[in-house]
Amino acid sequence: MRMTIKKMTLLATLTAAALVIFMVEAQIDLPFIVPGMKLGLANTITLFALFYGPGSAARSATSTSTGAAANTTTGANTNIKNNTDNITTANALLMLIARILLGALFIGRITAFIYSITGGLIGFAAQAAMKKIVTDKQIWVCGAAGAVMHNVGQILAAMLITGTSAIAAYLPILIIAGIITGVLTGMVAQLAVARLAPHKYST
Amino acid sequence: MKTTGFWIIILCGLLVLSVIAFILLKRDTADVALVYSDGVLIEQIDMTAISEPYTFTIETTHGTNTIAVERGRIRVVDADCPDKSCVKQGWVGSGVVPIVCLPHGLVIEFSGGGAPEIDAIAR
Repeated sequence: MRMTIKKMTLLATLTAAALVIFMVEAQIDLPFIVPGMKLGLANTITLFALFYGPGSAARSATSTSTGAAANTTTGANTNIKNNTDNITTANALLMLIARILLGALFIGRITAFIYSITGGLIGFAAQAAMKKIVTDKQIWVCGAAGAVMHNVGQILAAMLITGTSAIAAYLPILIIAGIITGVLTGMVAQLAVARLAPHKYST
Repeated sequence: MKTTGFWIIILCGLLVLSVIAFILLKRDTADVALVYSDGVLIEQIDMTAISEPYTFTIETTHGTNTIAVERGRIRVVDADCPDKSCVKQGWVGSGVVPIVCLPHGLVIEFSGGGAPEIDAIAR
């Protein structure tokens, strides 16, 4: 994969930021009913990476281009879309995997890693799918979907590892928690994208 | 692209469904506590037949958990895992939400009324 130094630096900075958030969050215990529950703040970076690329207007440009006026905007948007400095979904996925691997190394627990990677990948898949159907004003919806699926993924992993289906009883409370934390972290990502994306092409 | 209202309705619907499921699951009362280690049933405690509180220790290759039992309730009092989520969960007396110690593969779940059928057959 060829990438410019500018982009490589951006990806590295974001991964480092996500790792720091992840590590700090791992030290904090939330006094909730579900053991080991977290806000999922590190996901703000994943969401940011997913949405910092072409905006929703450019993402849906191919489906909405009708008429001459729209065609000219489509042309401009295609240029933005093809800009090599854009963070692709694959880049965002690599960042997530790097963060989870490094996080597990620093925390040093193999079970924590299994839950992180299962939840992380399922949550990421949900967010990558949602990215195609939400606008830049609805990133919080994407955050909620990601957080809920992340929690569902962790429950599935826990059920497989312990071989006990009773753990599924945690599902309702984890869905509720996922919606609340996901909307909040999604809002954070949405604000960051709205503030930073306009300055993206000014060097 | 859907409207924001559409997404709010979807999320609120999911929220309401989960709250209903959560409330329904809480209502169950349990008589029997089942202690599983890595999916294997190792201890079966009749919660209604406990006269004196006692503790016991479960040792596996993953680590050690100390479990305390009282009439109608059970808890993990000590564990040598790093996060101690199971210890923080405290006393649990009823409901379908189990005590789980993920690092040690330990699960304490509850079963209503008498011994569960599958174990009766297995014995």
